[in-house]
Amino acid sequence: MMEKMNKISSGQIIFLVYSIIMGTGLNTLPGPSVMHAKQDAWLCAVVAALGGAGLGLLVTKLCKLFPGKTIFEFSEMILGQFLGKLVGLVYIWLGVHVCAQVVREMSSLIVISIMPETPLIVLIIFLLSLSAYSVYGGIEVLVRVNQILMCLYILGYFILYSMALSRMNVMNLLPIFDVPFVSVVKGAILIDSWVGEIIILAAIIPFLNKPEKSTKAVLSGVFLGIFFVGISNAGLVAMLGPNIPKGYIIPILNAVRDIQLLDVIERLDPIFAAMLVSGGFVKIGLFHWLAAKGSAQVAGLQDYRPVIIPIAFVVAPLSILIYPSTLDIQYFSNNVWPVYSLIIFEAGIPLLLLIIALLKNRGQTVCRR
Amino acid sequence: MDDKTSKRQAVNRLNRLKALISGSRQMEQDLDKLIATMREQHEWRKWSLSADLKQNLAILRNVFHNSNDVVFREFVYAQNETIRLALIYIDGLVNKTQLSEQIMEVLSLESALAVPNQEVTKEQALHLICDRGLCINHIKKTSRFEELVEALLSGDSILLVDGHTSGVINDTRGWESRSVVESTAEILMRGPREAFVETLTVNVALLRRKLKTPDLKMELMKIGRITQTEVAVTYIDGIASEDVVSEVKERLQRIDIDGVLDSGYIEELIEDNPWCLFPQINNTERPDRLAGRMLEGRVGILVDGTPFALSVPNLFVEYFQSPDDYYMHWSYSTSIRLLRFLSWIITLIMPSLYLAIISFHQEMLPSALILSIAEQRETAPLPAVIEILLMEGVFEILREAGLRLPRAAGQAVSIVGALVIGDAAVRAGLVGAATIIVVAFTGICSFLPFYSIIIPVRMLRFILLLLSGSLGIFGLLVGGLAILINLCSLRSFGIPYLSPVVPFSLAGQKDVFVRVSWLSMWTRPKILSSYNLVREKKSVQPIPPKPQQNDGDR
Repeated sequence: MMEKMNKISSGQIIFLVYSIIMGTGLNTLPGPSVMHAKQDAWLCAVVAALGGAGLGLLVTKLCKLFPGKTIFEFSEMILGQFLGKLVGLVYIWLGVHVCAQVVREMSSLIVISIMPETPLIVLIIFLLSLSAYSVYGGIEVLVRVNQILMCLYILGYFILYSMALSRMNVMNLLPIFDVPFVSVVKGAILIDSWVGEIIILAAIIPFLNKPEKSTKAVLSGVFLGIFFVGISNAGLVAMLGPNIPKGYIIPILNAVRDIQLLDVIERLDPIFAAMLVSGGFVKIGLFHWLAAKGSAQVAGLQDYRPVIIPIAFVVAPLSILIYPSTLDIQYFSNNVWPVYSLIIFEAGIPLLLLIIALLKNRGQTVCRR
Repeated sequence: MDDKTSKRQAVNRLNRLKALISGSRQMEQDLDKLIATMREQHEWRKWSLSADLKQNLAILRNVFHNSNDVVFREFVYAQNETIRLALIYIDGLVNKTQLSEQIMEVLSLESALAVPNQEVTKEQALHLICDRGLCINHIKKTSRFEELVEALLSGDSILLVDGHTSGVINDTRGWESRSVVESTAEILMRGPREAFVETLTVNVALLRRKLKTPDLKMELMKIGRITQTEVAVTYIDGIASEDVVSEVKERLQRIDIDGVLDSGYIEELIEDNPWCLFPQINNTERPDRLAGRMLEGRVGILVDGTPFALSVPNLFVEYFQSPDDYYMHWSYSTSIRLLRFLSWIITLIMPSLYLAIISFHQEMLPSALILSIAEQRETAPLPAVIEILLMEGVFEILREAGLRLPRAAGQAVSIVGALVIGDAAVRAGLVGAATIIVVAFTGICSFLPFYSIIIPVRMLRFILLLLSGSLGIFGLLVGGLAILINLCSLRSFGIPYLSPVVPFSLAGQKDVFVRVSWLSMWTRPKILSSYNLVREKKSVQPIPPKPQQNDGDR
């Protein structure tokens, strides 16, 4: 019947991009950024904003060339059926991999922070059933859930941040520009590899009600997300100093643990962990959806719902297998993930697709003349 | 073919019946048998009246076989004594004074006195009776048995005239009904006091008194094969979305059920997602509330026999909007509304949050508080999760008992509940005092929002308790997210349930968390219908008069 409100608005895209970056960025990024760039960690965010803008433009440009088509469809149009399907498979793997990574990250976070005796698999099962339930609702439902969650997330973030202000020492941020620029760029590349996950938008932008406005929305979302990464980095350094954070697995959690107000509000880490998991949940849902939608489109299925549960069954064991221990999560995301993700999924293939599409397009126009 | 044969059979049976009635009564057994099949197969529904009054009455008597409340009164027409008349009605559904003064008296006495020497032939009789004889406001002629019987059952009376193949349906409805009294389910501080009653005509009139416009439409339909319940779809033409109106009518027409005794039947039959716990159709027993919703572009459904009217499309925020929000000062309404949202959330998560904190995250509590709670828990024999589940269950039982018990006994229950369960249980060391405080506070909070949105929460609370009892705050988060996903995926007649919050609409925010002053409520909610949005003229705010030159202090 009446399906007029079925599409996604560009305002919702801002929140979506924000949660792709901050959903896991808040617990993962500040630590390594401080490790690379010491007290100049906030500078990483400034540099990352440049790269992030480029990544945002890349995605939206690619989508504008093929309005109404997802990356799984237009890669076949650009590269032909075989190579196109191969690219599709690569992005299905991205969905499965990121989904597994975030599921593992979030359940490990719960285990190390608040529930040390709970087996990982229990948390993984709960998170994946929740994401399967949301993916059944479709992308609109995910986007709406994300909108509400991110409003609460930002609100909670500011409340915690203002409570932490009393324990911050701005002198910790000095001296500025004291670390070599290469270290700052290293941190920035790390942040950009998180921003680059917005490549998932290549499958979402076709469902927008006004796709022509997507560039502005995506860029605002990218800048908003990077801004929050920046102030988190600065806050972390101001609170714990430039050298202490690298000793923690999730330094931001330890910073929040230190918040104490009026002798009544203290040890907010359970609430904060719940907040981080709610942000991570959105990402789990989104990449679960990407894997499901992609498999359906590559296999030529009408409906993606039948593959949701099978994907969850792939993700659950994978999320345990990919990391031997919690410390490996940190190692992988600091050293392997930036290179692996940027070169293959986030910049490499999209750039290749864009160049070939533009060349082909020119060729076609020449032929028509 | 089948249809034709069955029709022929019906005609045959009718002919045989006619022969039996007009002929001798020696084959009564045969007659009984025939009539039994007639009743079983409802063949009389296809028949029309014949010119023979005796035969018509015989058929009606057999239709209402063993129904003692149906009254058959035969009498003669005053102006021509050879014409026999019959008045049929159901005792208790008709206004008897009207019946005797405006039909019986007039036809059997007064019409002869009014025009003494008039000759009335048998052919003229029906015409004269309708035009001059009956003093009833609303009459209708028909020749179909089905229509006559339906009218009779709805409370009309039927006048049959010998020698004519049509009967007259007189609108003489009048039965005992509750008068319009104050609403008991929705109690307000300020605003109209009246509430709907069980009679549809009264309810329609109550609504019409609020909305005096020809654009107020009422479309009647009958639902329920046996109950034949009248259902009115009502909306303001030009404000309500046509899509929604036609969708409502289509869904109502699709209903095929034996009986509709309350609007609750309709609600469940036309809901978008009947498996979901959250209500997707709103109900009210206040005419002002329904009128307010219709002014915003909603469609009302009034059902005969119940004071509860339905309204669609239904949004989540509606349950937090009370009619007196709009009658009292906007600042007060806004703060009370925020309180309602807060208390809804407290009702949902407070017990599970308490449970999660005391059993998993004790570090969150300040030392003084955790010491006092630990002291209570020291003597408590049950684990926290069992204790709080038990107390929640006890509270639900007390609450249900308070609702169902006779008024006199209700007080006893509350005393037993408060003293025995509350005080004695704590003193005996069976449960912690903190648990009682949390449960009682949650219980009180649950009375603030409109009761239909509390019902799902009361059930979900137990699931959340189990989750947080096993997984701490993570379990609570999982449960909360599942509820959020469910709410986000719901639609009521095509409108997203959580709008105007998600999808976000800035103009819609005037009546969600805050209720802005009527001075700035310029438009109707855009989400419900897309045209005729202007609600009032802008800037009607009174401006203080400019001081006149010679107006100063002298």
